[in-house]
Amino acid sequence: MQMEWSYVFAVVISGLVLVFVALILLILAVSVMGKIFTANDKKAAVPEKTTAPAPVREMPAPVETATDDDETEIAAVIAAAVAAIAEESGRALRVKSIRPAGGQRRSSRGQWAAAAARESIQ
Amino acid sequence: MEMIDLFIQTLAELAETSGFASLGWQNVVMMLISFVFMYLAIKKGYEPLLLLPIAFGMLLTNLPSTGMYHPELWNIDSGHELDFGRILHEGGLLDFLYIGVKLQIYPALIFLGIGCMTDFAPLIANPKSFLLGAAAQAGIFLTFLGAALLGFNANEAGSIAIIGGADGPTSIYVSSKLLSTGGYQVEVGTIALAAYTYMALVPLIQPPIMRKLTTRKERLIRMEQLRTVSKTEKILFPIAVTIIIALLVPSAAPLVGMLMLGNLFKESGCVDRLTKTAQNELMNIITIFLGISVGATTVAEKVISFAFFKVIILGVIAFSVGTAAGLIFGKIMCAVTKGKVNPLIGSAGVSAVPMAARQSQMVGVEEDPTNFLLMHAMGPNVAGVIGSAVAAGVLLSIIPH
Repeated sequence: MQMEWSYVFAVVISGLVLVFVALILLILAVSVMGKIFTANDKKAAVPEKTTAPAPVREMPAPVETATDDDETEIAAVIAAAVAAIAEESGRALRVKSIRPAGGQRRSSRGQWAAAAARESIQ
Repeated sequence: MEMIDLFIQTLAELAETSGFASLGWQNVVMMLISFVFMYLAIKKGYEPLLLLPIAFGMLLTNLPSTGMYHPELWNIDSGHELDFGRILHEGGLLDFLYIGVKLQIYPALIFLGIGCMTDFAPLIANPKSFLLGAAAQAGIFLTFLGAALLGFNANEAGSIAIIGGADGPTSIYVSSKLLSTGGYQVEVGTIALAAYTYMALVPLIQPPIMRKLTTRKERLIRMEQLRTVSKTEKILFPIAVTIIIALLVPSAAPLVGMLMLGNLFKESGCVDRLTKTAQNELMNIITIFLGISVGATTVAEKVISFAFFKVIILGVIAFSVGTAAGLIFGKIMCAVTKGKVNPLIGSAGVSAVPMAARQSQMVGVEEDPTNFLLMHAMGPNVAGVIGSAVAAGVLLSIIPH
């Protein structure tokens, strides 16, 4: 039995509207939930900062250009390697700066991690 | 002499009752089609977990005189109820297994397993992804329009349209409800076959549309890293979604409820045994039952028909429109956020998990090998699963059945 066009359009429009309304309600619910939890996390983090003792600077920061966690980690590895060589040779060495080789694009993750992720996705 | 006569008579009777005597050309064509699907599953690896049992069910049902499946037991007139007593009395093995499809048990249990395997964290971290999951459902409703244009009635059009949701269990759930009586041009099996075929063809259908509808500049957009989601949020999410969706669209509750129950199993961390069973053993058992019994419904007269050809055409349109709608909404979000959203994640709004999200990643990597969109695309992808279940509920509540 052929459908009437008014019915067809009613199904299409009400269907689309209902799906959007349902998912927008979910956005609101999840956003509110997210706001509450991130606010709680911040509250919990603040007292920790105030009560924590001032960091003791035992060693000077070895890297001037390190800006995020990944780079700090790489810098620490390089500094550790240099320290190991220094200990063997009995000389005092100091890492003054670490700079990426020219022409490289900045990636949000290390090259090894990026390669591994690419391989597992493919 | 008498012994020879008896021997010849026995042979003649055997020949008459054998499958060869009643083997028609339609059966042969259907068997050849089942071989094609087996080839696609085994050799090409297209959705083998489902295509292989479906193809074998198709083969079994089209071998005449096996008595494994009886379409006449299921084709009842409108206004009449299924006679389960007769089915249990006269039915074959595949009739019994098909009861689980007809009562919508299998799709809901598959959703339970999917829930156990799904990580909703990318969606919780970026709830705006829900919009992309909703936009991609446009494929369903616009295909409903297309099916009406091609002369299908409301129940047939709804069953065909749901293919656009790119979700096999949802397609089976909706079509088994809408096509519960006989006399329709399409059958649950043909809908499932088209849905799973298109899901398997995601890597072929989506990328050209994605490249066509986005610019290189858009494809190069890097998205900000998602925030970490706490365990409490992950536990509250399935409960909140179930309550909201079940109150708003009650007919979507069986699918969404089971999906969220599975997810609660996983996130609660206190029912490991149930989680493992639901996502492994139970899921595998249901997949076998679902595949073989759905394949059994693909009898020759339903597949070798102009109606099935139209389903195939409408199915690819549904899928493509869903992909395009997600991408266009992704572009809108990109413009609104001043370039913070890569529109490629929009195509993942169709709920083929995780293939659609993987396509967003792959097309993005073509432009910039260091751009990782996968986690961002998983948000719309899992939103698409919820979206298509909601769309299914909406279709079931609007179309009388």
